[in-house]
Amino acid sequence: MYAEGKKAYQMANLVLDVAEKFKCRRVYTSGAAVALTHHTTKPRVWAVPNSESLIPEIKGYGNTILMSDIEGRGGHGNITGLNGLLLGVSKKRGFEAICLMGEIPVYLQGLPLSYPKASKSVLEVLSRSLKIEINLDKLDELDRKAERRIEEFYQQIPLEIRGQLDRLRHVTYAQPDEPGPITEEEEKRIMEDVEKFFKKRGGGG
Amino acid sequence: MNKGYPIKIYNEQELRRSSLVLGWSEDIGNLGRKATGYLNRKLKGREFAEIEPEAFFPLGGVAIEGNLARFPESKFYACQEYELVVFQSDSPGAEWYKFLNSVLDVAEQHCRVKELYILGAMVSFSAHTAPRQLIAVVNSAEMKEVLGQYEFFFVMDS
Repeated sequence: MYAEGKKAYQMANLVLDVAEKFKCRRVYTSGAAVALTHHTTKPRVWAVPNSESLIPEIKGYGNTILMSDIEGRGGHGNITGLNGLLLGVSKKRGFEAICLMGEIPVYLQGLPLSYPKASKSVLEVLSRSLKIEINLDKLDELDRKAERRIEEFYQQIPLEIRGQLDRLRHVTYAQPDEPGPITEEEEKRIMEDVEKFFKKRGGGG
Repeated sequence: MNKGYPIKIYNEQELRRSSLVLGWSEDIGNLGRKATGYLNRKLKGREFAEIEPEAFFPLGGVAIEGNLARFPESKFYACQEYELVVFQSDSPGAEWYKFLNSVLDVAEQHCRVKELYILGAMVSFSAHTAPRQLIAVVNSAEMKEVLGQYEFFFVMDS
């Protein structure tokens, strides 16, 4: 259940009241970013700060991209829910804040599966930012289990659609000025095929 | 301040007969934001009040612009020495009437504002190299007369 509107605003303020009480200087939120990526590639982390001064630091994290690095976004977008609202309310109340979002392949978004690979990417960035070493072995183990289930699901996808999805193995966002490995037209077709597939499966979970 | 309006006053101002200049963030060419920002910088405007966003802006998340999370702001700045108050704000998404009344509550009850100037841009069929013309829409004969003295103004009644 999600808080919305005024309730969400109140909740964000309550969270920050506690943060203030404990003398926190920075707020991190995290979530998933549905992206045109493949489950065999390492998920990147989309980072959205609430202050210009945080950008150089974010650029130094590695495996992290800003909205302007994502093709077709032009540095713009939205973060819905409390993840986003907390960034805004933090700004208003003078806290630094960064939202870290791990990439989840577009064809997995409707499935009731966890995606530890993205959680790991986010935690790696967080540990760099906080300068805290975190043992992520347990997450690797979970990832291996999840990977097996994802692969089983992937093999159920009709060959024609899977062929399209396989092309996502080579998608990069690093050089938005250069033509990517898939065109916009192809991107649209992949999305349509994925949607059709899920509709046939009855909503996809 | 009317009860029920979410206005926060941080410092009371000692203004006797001030002017209020308003600029909106979403203006064409960023005119409102730039002009009011410039005034604040040059005249050392100090933030002294704001309108809380919860009743007026959709708070289902945040927009990202230029890689940064943006949050709606509606702030008042006082340039004490010049008897000038500057209001910079995003355009509210709802309850415009209440919002504008909140602005006027601050103007009337905390700043003794006698006149308001609302800044904005207007799209026109002119080259970017042509001299600018200012068009003013006024709501009083007195104001029309005052602004009519300036050559660069084209003044219309509201």
